[in-house]
Formats: sequence, C-alpha cells, structure tokens
Amino acid sequence: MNITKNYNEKELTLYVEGRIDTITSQDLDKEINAEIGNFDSLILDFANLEYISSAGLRVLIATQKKLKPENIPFIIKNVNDIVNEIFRMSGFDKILKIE
Amino acid sequence: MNSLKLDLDINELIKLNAFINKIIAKKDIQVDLIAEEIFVNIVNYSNSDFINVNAQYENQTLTLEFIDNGIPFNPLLKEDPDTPDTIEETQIGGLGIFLTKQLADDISYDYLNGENHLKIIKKVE
Repeated sequence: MNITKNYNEKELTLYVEGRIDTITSQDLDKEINAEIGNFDSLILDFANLEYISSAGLRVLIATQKKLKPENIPFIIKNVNDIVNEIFRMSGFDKILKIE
Repeated sequence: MNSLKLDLDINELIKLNAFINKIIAKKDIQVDLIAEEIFVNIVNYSNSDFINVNAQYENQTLTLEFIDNGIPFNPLLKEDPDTPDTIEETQIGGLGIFLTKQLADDISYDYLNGENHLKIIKKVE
C-alpha cells in the first residue's frame, strides 16, 4: 500500500494505492489519525486500490465514527468494481459516502 | 495437495498469499480475501500453536483447508452481523467470517483429534 497526501486549502485527499489488508490497514489508520484536526473534509481516492479486507473496512468505519460528531465530511471516491462489491456485501455502501 | 505451515503472526499473511497465488497461478482478490479473513481470525482468537493450510486446485476449483489446535470454533455457527442502518450502530466484529461465507462456494467444519478443520471450496475461473 502507498498513500499520497494532498491538501487543497483544508480539504485533504489521500490517494491510496495497492492493498489495504490486515497488515497495511494499520498504516492507513495512523496516517488518518495523524491528520485529524488539520482538515475540514477528508477524501479517500481509491482509483488505484486493488484490494480491501475487513481490517480495512474497520479503519473506514472507525474514521467515520470519529468524524461524524465533528460534522467533518468523509468521502470515498473512484472505487473500482472489485472493491465496490466488498462494500456492497458488507452493507457499508449504505453508511459510508461513496462517490 | 500442497501444504504450508504458518506461525500465529499476522505478517505470515504475505507467505499465505504467495502460496495460494502460486497454486492457482494467478491473483484472485476474492480468494485472497477468504484466506486473509480465516487466517487472521485464527491468529487473533484461536490460541493455537500452529496453522496448517492445505490447498488443492483442480477443475478450476480451489479447496483450502485450515487446521489449528486452538479453541474449538465453528464459524458456521456464528450469527451474521446485522446490516447496519447508521454509522453509530455499525459493529465491526464478525465481518470477516460474514464476507467469507458470501464469497465461498462451500464451507465445512469439523473438530477432529483436538483440531479445528475448516474447509473452503471456491471456484476460480
């Protein structure tokens, strides 16, 4: 997994490439937590994400749980078919904002 | 049949993925997902001394068997998590097994000689 950060004013986009599995999901969690407080909206761009397991889904849910009380928008975009299928199966496509 | 013995260490996931990808001679995201979810569950909850993985691939069908000598656990008896309506009520436990059940073509469980045997069948095109 590789993460590239980009700030546009206070909108943070994290471009996540490769695989979010049990091992790498910890790095994604750390990266997001390190930036909390610095952004007023968060976008995860999954255009080059090829894989996500339940450990990765857990990070997304934990992030949404942290940001929602602060009214900070959290958007996941450019999800490919394979990853989208995993979102759909988990039912998380209905509770995360996926564009 | 091919076999692999793994330690109860999350980092062994890399070895497991490589082992399976070699057997099916390609990468398959759904197979990777099944293997990861079962493996991680055993590492985190079984208290086993080892994990043995047997794999066989024929007629475009992959059979994976996970064997451990940990706490008896039949994942097929585990209730599926409720489909969440709101972020507040979303629970994340049990999701890995739920995904595995949806992706696998067949799953069977046996407790034999003090060992959990979980067999998963998955068609790989």
